[in-house]
Amino acid sequence: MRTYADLHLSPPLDDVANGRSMASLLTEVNTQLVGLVVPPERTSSTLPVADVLKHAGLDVARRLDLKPKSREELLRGLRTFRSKYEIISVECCVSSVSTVAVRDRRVDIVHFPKQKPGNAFRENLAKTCRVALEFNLSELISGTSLETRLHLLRREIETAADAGIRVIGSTNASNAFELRSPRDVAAVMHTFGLPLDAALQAVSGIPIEMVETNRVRLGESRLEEGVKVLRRSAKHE
Amino acid sequence: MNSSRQRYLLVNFFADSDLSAKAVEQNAHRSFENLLGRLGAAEAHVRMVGFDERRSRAVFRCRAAFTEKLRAALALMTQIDGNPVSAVVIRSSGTIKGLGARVQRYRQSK
Repeated sequence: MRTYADLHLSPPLDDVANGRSMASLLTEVNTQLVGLVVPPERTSSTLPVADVLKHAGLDVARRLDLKPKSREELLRGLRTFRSKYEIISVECCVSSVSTVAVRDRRVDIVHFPKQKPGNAFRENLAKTCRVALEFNLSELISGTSLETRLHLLRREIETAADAGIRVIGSTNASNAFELRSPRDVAAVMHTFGLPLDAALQAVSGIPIEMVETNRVRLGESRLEEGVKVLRRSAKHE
Repeated sequence: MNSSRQRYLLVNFFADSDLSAKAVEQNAHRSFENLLGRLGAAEAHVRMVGFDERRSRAVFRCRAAFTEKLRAALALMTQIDGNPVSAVVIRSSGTIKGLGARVQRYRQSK
């Protein structure tokens, strides 16, 4: 049986009751992996919601949402936080940020908010894109002018499908009312133009593989990009 | 493929107040029409065939070719009678029996 992932959950980190209702709904729809948004100031502290989700049998990955306003801010954020998080996502509101974010290997996911249509995911970015493009269901179920957001989503999905970019579907839910089954998120993406196989991969294979790869990378001892430590002298052990 | 083949979906409605079968059906139809229009709704032949008021679970039936679209329409539902709600498809099957759920039969009174 296929297992699913929702890499974007942003519940209040201390609200245990809310976490429990989300966990019960997620386990019922066969979700295996969730990405929990953890702000940098909470990385070292215990997270009650993460414990609730783990107790329900879910695999919890820590996720950071970077919202840089400039290229320099993005690079500084990546340098500081890459080694502390399993998933790093970048919200692309400025074109200088999106050009760098789609190419940088340290970025896992890019996201183009539909509320700010000035900087959309277009063909020029798709050509150089090496990271996964995220679609958040919360953007469709909240706010006004559904038609505009549907149009933008459809165009984004078409561009990604044409360029063969990996797409990821998630909910960005902060409570159980915003939560949907990953399988239903795939159905929404399929309805808006993504082939069914790719839509199912977007909520199962791609996110699960992404977190597994990042965990291996975080566990490895590396000197720098591409240089691994094979053995140390006896005095270091 | 046989175009008249049907598909059944077991849907869990998460709400903080009690839901009536009639309200759930009306809102599900409205969401489907908003997404696909009246023509799409007519072709999909969506019906709510059962509803468990105690557990807020419904069984919907549609033509097999429209299963993904029905899922999408249900996922885009955000409220019923002004109350926030989330609709989550728990299981999908070609038969009601295959859903493995006991849900009371719902008959439309028109």
